[in-house]
Amino acid sequence: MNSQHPASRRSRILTLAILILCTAHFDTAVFGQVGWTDEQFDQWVFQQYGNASTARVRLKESLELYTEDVDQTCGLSDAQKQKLRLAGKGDIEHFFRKFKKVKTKFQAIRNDQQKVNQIFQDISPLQAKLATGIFDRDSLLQKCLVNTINREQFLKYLKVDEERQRFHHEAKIGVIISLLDQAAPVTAEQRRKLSDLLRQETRPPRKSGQYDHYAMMHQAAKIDDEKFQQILDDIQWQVFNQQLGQMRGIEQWLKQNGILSDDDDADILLPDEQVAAE
Amino acid sequence: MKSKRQTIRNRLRGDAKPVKRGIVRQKAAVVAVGAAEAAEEVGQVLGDLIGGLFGRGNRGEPAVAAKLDGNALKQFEAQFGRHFDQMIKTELHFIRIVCQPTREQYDAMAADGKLIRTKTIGKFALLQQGINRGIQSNDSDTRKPISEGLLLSAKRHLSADQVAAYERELTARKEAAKEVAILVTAGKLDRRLVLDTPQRAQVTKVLTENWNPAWGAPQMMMHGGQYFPDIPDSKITPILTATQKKVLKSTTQQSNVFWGFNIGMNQGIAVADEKWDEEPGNEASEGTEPANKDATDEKSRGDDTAEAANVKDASSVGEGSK
Repeated sequence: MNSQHPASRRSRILTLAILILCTAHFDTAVFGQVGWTDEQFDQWVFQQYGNASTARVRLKESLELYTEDVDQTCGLSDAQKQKLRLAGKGDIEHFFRKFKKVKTKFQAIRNDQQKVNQIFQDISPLQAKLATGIFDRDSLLQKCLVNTINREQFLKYLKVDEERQRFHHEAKIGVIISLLDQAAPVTAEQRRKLSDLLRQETRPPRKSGQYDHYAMMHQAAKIDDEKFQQILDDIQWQVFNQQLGQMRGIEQWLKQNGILSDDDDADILLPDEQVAAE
Repeated sequence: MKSKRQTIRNRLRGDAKPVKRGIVRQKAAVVAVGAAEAAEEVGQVLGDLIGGLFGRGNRGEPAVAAKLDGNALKQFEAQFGRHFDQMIKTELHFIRIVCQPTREQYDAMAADGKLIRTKTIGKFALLQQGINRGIQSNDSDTRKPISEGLLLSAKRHLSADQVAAYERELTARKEAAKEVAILVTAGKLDRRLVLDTPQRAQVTKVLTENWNPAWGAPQMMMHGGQYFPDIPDSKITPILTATQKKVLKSTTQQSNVFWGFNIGMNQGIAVADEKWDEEPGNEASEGTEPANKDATDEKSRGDDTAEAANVKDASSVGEGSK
């Protein structure tokens, strides 16, 4: 008879369970060396979203909101909406293809701390893309928009988009002055003059996200010192100049992270102008 | 019923009743300003005033001193002392621009500033100690106790007009900060929900009417792109479309984000000393080395007319762009 004693069977099941648990945790503890898990990698890339599936849901929601907004502004036909949704889905898939490629690379080196540190060079652009929004100027969605809507619709869209950018620009100018106020307070009159100067000499970053403040300060750092010195006195300028100084050397970092690009100063072309340019 | 967090906050700040007594003392002390002539007495009165700001223990000792670990205070001072130096100096400089005090008035306030610095550092060292022990507090604005302390000092040393000018500017500063924080918060909602222009205006209005100062932490403005304050849904949803409502519902709103105390972009730089124009025939007055400073002070205190001219220089900030 081949029957087992219940205690022996329980013991085998317990051993098996321990073995499974050990295998599952092997990637996090190899002979005392900490390895990184897939979940940790997802957390690095998706940050506030936590994981890939939540990020995918959020991106689809953003696409739907964006399409609705353009529709409300320009009055899209069903075919136009369909095209935009398709292009947006293409952007989402493109992002996840890049993510998968980096993740595969990560899985091969997860136990080598030095190589894990290096892989952050690949993770960083993915983080920045999510932070600044995947439907930016370079996206399929934006290119599709230009090719899908007519000149009249595009002009309406530009007007609404400019209003939105102005709103965000005002907020960013306010943040710069508010942080100066914390470090070296300015008077209401100085605040007003600084706002005017920054409004005049900076423009909203084309890509918007959690690093907006740095992008704006980087622009402010390029303004002639004299213009600030006409508004601020020596002590206030000493403090503000120190803040600006930190931003003078970060252009490369802003570019690497997709916050600035070389064509940021390029004028926006209307659909027919873009076709002509191509 | 008091929440646990509220109880912890009260412990950090000192009991409510002693603070209330402190406020009564402030009023009484402000009335009795003229009587406080001796330097020692002045220090005691100001100590009382500032004690009201920071809270007191039951035995009349500042709560911060009674509960603070000595080493923690030393470490905190070593790490952040220069940041508080910058805040005191720049706030005093701001007062000079706005109120145009005489040098005598300025020096008296600067002396009070030293006491305010000590108290403020004590307060935030205690806060930091609490943070290290896992206690959270959003009482994070480091400049607030400094400007409030110097306002009390101004009431002692400056004229009513000068105090009114400072108060006006403090109110304007506070309003400007609130306005910016509202714009930033509305901007975050816009980025998430893709609002149209009228919706942005409506959201801004709702935020203004229901503003919670915790939503305006500078860290929230600089780095908080992914943090959404816990705005009551009932106020916002009537403005939104069905899709926007769905997205807002799925957006995690954080009511318990804890940023620690804030020094903003204050880098703790050594701010230049105040310059006072030289009196006629006194070559050593401006930019005088500390060794000669006392003698220079004596001379400059004697001439209010010269002081008025000096202050005009400090207050002519921004004239060039007019």
